[in-house]
Amino acid sequence: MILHTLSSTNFMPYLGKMSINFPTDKDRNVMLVFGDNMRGKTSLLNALRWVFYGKAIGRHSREIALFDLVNIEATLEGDWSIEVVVTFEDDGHRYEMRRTATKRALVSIPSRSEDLLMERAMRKDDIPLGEHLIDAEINRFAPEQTSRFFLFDGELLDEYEQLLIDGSDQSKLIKEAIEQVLGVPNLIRGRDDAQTILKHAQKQQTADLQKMGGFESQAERQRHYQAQIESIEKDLKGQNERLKQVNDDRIELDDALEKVEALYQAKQKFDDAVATRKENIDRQDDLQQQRLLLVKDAWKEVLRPLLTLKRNHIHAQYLKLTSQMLARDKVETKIEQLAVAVQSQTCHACGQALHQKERVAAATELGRLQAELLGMKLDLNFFSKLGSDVQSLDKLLQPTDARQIAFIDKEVSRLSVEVTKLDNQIDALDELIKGQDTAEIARKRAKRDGLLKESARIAGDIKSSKDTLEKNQRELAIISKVLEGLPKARAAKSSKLVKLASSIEKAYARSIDQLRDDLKSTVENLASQAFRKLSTQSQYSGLRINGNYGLTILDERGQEVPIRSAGAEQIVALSLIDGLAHAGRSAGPVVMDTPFGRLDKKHRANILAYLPTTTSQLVLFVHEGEVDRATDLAPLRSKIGCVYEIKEISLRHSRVERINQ
Amino acid sequence: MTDDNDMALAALLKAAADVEPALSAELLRKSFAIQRRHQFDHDDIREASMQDLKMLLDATVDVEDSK
Repeated sequence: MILHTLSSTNFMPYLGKMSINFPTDKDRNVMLVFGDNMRGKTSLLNALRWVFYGKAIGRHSREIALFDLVNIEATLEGDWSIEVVVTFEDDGHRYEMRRTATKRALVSIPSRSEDLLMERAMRKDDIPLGEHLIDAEINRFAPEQTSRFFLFDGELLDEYEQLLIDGSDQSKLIKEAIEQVLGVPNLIRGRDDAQTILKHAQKQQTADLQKMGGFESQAERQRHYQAQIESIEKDLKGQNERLKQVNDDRIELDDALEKVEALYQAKQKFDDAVATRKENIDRQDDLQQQRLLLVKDAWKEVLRPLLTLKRNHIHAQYLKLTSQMLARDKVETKIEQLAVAVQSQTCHACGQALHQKERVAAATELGRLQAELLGMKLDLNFFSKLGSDVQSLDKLLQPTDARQIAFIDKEVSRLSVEVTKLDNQIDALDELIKGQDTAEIARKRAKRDGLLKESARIAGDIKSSKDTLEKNQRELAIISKVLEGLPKARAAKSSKLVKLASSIEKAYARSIDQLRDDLKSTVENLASQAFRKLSTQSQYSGLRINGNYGLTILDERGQEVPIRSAGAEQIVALSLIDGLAHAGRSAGPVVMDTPFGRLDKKHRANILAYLPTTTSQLVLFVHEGEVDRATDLAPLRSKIGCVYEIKEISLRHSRVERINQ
Repeated sequence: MTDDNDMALAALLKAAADVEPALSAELLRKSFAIQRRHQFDHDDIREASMQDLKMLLDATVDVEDSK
């Protein structure tokens, strides 16, 4: 297939007429269209998608509504008609494919896609084709199911990274698309068709056996298993429909939740901020209560220095009086002892009789002490008062926690600042979520989680049903085998058909695994060849494929390289696409939108050098950041057929201009 | 951009040789041609390939009966 021209009227940002010519010289088969972001590069890719398949794809592989394909400035002028025409050649025939959308009769101002009527037409060698033949023609050279491998954008390259994540939804979709390219569905359909024929033939066989007589028990058993199988298949159909519905609902919720994720996060932050604010306020209240208790005793701290001085003074007086009391006690004791000795003329210490001389000395001493005692007068009330005062002051001077007040004041102050900050945050978040139904978001999240569980449960049921189905099918096969051994039964046409359909079914069933194994090996080899051309790392020896057609880089020792950059991911993805292109179909045009986003100059140079050799036409929609016109194109100059540039006329109006001849 | 499916047919013939060697390669090629012809059918005409295959198998049985 060789693309010739693409022209449009009022399609997306291209107000009025737009037309580009593709390079048709096989030696100069590269076309470059430069355009800044938001100017309409992807719209050109979508023009091709729409004219062939009636669909335009937006972000996250979502279909863009027909209503949104009409140029807005044109609609403001009352013009609601769009048209895209592509001309091309294939297998020696010239084709023109045209798709239009126009305002339906009786609609004054369209407000939804249903208000527009989409029509298409195809001419082959200038002869109009009937509507019923158009799909067959498109499927011959560019089936929609495989279009993602020749009409793709940078986002698709990112999707391939998902292939390494076994079991992801995206992984399953890409695996299906890859197998579609490589012909696996033909074998799956062949197996399914053979199974259906086999089922009908077995029923007919049962009816025939009953008519023959002598095979009633086999017929009855066959009927039993056929009924079981029918019932299980009915269950399976329902389970699969339910699973699809649940998954569709979940995907829809995921999309809806993705859009309001920022809002949900804001609500979460709002709730957290409100909770933290309450905690801070409660803590502040607690601290204030503690502070009040501490303040009650705080006056003591003010008087502490004076009271300490006073207490020390009184205590010193008290100690002095105490020592005086002890001294008086000693004197009184001595007086008492001397008085006894003088009167009894006996020593109080040894009990021996005192001589006259000693008795006189004792009496003299007694008299001196009695005189001394008269000078040792003590005020016991005063002594008692001093003791009491010391005790009271000691009580007052007991240590308190008043010093905690400073810490509490500091903490309360810090909490006040925190609460002010939180108040501001809460106000800002409240403003953000005001008017938004955050409860609805929470409901959707809970429902999405519930659907995930439901999906897993149904998947389990499906597995169980399939196991039971296989068991019943085996039983039925055993009966068929037994009947094959009986000449009369074997002679029936229905029995022959059962045998043939069963053989065909077995061959197709086995061939699916066979093809998958063959494909993996072939795609791995082809992708590795492309990878070695595209990669700038000479140490990389190739790629290894997994069950989902995901590829891992191998180093020079054949060991897997566990970590790779985003740029390397794109090189691997391009290698896989190139491998698939060569494994599954003959070389055709490849249209790439913004494919070099993550790649360095050397990789871009490798791609620009390699891909033109493996495609009939290579069309690249790029921005200046991806391809430098001054430097990157020099080595490719001999292969470039034409270069266009998208120019912005206004926000809703872009124009494509050719900038080389 | 035509998908020639040679690998798919080769896989079918190889698988049949392993599990059902008595099946004729011609019958398998014809049955595979039916699937290729109908590979992009819409769901509303999904049964068309099955009907064609049924006719092929009926015809094969009839031919064997007539021998």
